[in-house]
Amino acid sequence: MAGASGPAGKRLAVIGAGPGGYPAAFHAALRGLDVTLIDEEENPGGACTYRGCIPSKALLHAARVIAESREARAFGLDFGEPQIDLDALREWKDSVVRRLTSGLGLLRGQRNVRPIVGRAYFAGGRSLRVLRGGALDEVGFDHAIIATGSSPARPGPLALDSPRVMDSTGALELADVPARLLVVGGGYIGLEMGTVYAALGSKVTVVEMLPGLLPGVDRDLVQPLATHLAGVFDEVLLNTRVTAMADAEDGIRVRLAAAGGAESERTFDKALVAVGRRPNSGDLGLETTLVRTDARGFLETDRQRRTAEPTIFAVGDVAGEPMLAHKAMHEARVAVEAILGEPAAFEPAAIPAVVFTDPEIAWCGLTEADAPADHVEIVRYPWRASGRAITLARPEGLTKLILEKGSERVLGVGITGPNAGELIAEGTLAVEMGARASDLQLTIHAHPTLSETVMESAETFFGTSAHYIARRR
Amino acid sequence: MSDFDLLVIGGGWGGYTAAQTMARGGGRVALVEQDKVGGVCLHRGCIPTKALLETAAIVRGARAAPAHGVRLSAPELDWPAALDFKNGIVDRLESGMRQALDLAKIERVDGAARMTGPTSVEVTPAAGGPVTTLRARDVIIATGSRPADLAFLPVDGRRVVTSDHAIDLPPPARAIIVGGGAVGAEFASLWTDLGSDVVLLELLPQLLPQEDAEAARALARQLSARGVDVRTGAQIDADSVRIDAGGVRMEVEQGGERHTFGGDVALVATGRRPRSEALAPAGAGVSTYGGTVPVDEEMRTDVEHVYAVGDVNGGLQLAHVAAAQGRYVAERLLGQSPPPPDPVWMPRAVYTTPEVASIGLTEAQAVEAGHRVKIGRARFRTNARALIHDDADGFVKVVAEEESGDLLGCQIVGAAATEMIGQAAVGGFMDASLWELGRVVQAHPTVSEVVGEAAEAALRPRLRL
Repeated sequence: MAGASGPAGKRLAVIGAGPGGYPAAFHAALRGLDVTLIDEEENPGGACTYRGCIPSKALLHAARVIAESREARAFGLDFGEPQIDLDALREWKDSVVRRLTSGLGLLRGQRNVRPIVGRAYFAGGRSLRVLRGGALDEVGFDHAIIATGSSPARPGPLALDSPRVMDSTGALELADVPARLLVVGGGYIGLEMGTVYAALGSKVTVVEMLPGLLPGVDRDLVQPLATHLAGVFDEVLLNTRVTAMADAEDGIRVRLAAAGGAESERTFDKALVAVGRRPNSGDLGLETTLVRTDARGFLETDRQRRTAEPTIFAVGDVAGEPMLAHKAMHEARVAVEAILGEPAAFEPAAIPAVVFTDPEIAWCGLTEADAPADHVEIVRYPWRASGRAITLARPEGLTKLILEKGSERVLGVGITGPNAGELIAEGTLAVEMGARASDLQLTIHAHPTLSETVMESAETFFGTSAHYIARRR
Repeated sequence: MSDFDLLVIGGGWGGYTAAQTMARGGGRVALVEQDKVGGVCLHRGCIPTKALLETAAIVRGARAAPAHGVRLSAPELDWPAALDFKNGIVDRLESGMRQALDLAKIERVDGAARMTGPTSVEVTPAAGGPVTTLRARDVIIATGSRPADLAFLPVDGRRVVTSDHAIDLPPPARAIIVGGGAVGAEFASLWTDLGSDVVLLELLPQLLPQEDAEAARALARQLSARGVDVRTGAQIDADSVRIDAGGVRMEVEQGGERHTFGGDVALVATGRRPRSEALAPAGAGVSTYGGTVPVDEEMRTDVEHVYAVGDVNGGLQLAHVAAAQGRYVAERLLGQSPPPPDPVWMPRAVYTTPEVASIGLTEAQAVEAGHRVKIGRARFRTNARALIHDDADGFVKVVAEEESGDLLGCQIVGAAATEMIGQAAVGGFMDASLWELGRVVQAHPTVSEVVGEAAEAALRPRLRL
């Protein structure tokens, strides 16, 4: 009976080996627990590494290389028109995934984590049944961490089962480059994959039900991206829903309904459905435990990520929004420390989020939209005042701070521009450390860098920026 | 009766920031500049080199592209277009600075300044015309620096050049770069990517002598892999230097062996010398050593009302250091009480490929300063974002106080190092501990994750990342 051999009280079963599961397993093993890691893939990595963040970033990198070769004339370089070798691109993307997942497999061995390749079902709050091949094993545990992640959602008419309709997983396989691609959903997955296919030569139409791209992100951060994408995509249809989809001889027939009521019928070669993700909380045998799910299917947990069943914890996408790999990694550690009896709790003031489009958008902490307007002051620093942005020929970026009125504490940071995903790290640290605007103003930044814009935003707030003057709100 | 509250001599980063800060605070300011506002950084330093390095970055990215499924034909470098791009940026930023000075009602005085008393200066207009005298309550000397020269390698601007010339020079077929500091290393990286054969000579045992030895080794390794002939501990035999129509030849002794190197161009990049000779501060009683105007930690010279900021005062020769000092002096003169810029906690950025960035103390400097240190290292090779960007050779190193875990310094080698160091700067300013640095949630997949991993590694030496 696998997993039952460990010393009493120390047996941990982790279900799911994505960015919630493998850090939990590795950290727990390092801290002396006897860990079994159960996943259907041979190596750890999860949706993020196999079918999400990693392959999409590899393809986005290639898209950027293509775009850059076209923009290069401004820098005095001419490459001619880029030729795309789809097989080589696919192989390179797969090699990145293989390298990372096999590396994680190696680490799993070094950390003495016991792998089981199979599917786990709870049988009460102390044991699991694991289906592998045709065999059913029983795995006893003192604690379990559920990290089963999420899957692409295909609600209503978007559920059509057709080889011409892809979800993000299918789109990443890059079977071909459709001449006309419909992207349903103007969130980060739709925009990232739309960018990839547009760079490879597809005419891309993006349909978004809400009035703007990237719902939930501050409009001023989205604006430079929206402007850029207007030149990348064939069309962006806002306030529009897909009400019907059907296979046709020459493609996929789609009925679009605009908010005003106008309907139209269009044909595309392929469609990518990217309207969100659903937690993988079903079919786990949770009815045999006290674990509760909320209306959207997320597992309910306390601040330590403990479910209503005291031996069972849940982390990552299955435990609630935001569905981000690094949020899962952080929760994983909290859960392990809670299991070890340490006073850990999940309460980061700032979880960064990044959209890896071009330009990138990154933010952390409070957004302007979420902040009560009379409690905050907003300061913006446009990158056209940044020497580094000018040398990169990328003056369209923006850095903004959301400051608490009175205390001038930094509650949130938002950045749009190349490398925003890396730049946000110092914003996150500032929010976590309770930095005030004056701290950022006095932190000397290297010149010429884009990171100076964080400091200059604070200077702009005090009216001391040498490069930009803004009227204070 | 003074004409101005503040007279700033030199319109580079230090002088410009001082003038702006003072004017914003309501002071009457004059700024004397004999050339163009923006100084060395804008016209012959950080900005033009970064613009050219962008061109090189695209060429390098294109070489790696076939492995990523994108085939590009061999790039044709249109040097005049690359120069246009670079010059366009410089012009744009310069006109922005001029407008900002005018907007702030700062009196711009074009001409060469000469001190006639502690707070009086004679200006000889660059365009000719009568000499004028300006008086102010306080004076800031911000006259910057110029490239150092070598007696045995006289600069002629054609065969033997400094960075002043190199920024306009088409990449030479064969180049010898004398000096492996930031400037020499950046030109080595630039020229090799644009197709030059480059020899990089450094007298000391490592490139970037002020930086961490591991970081310098990583840079040397990657430059070598791209074809640069990197020679450290290399002593040029001064008598062997020959300069003629065919180029420059020299013999170099390295590790007991003699080598002969030849190039179409030799770039002298052996540092920069503070310059204040033309200003003649000594005439006003201000002590100088060579061109250096020494100051105390509040940027005061030995004469009351006279300050010196930036390269000319002999400190770290970096634009952001000059700016911080300039702002500090102006704020003091406005009656505010800001803390003096901490000379240790200053970020340093080298824009080679790979970039090298650091802040605070290196391991060697910390040990020398008497700290008991612990070190955390994390490498890029398991980082997803770094792998995707062909940047698996980078690393982050953190230096912390053994007992308290307080951060003493951080060094980063890799593609986004110069941006990532901002995180360490904030951490340092906020007195972050390793624990805090390790616990901050980093976005995935980003290279910034490695900073957290390095902090973790210092806390748990057993943890292999």
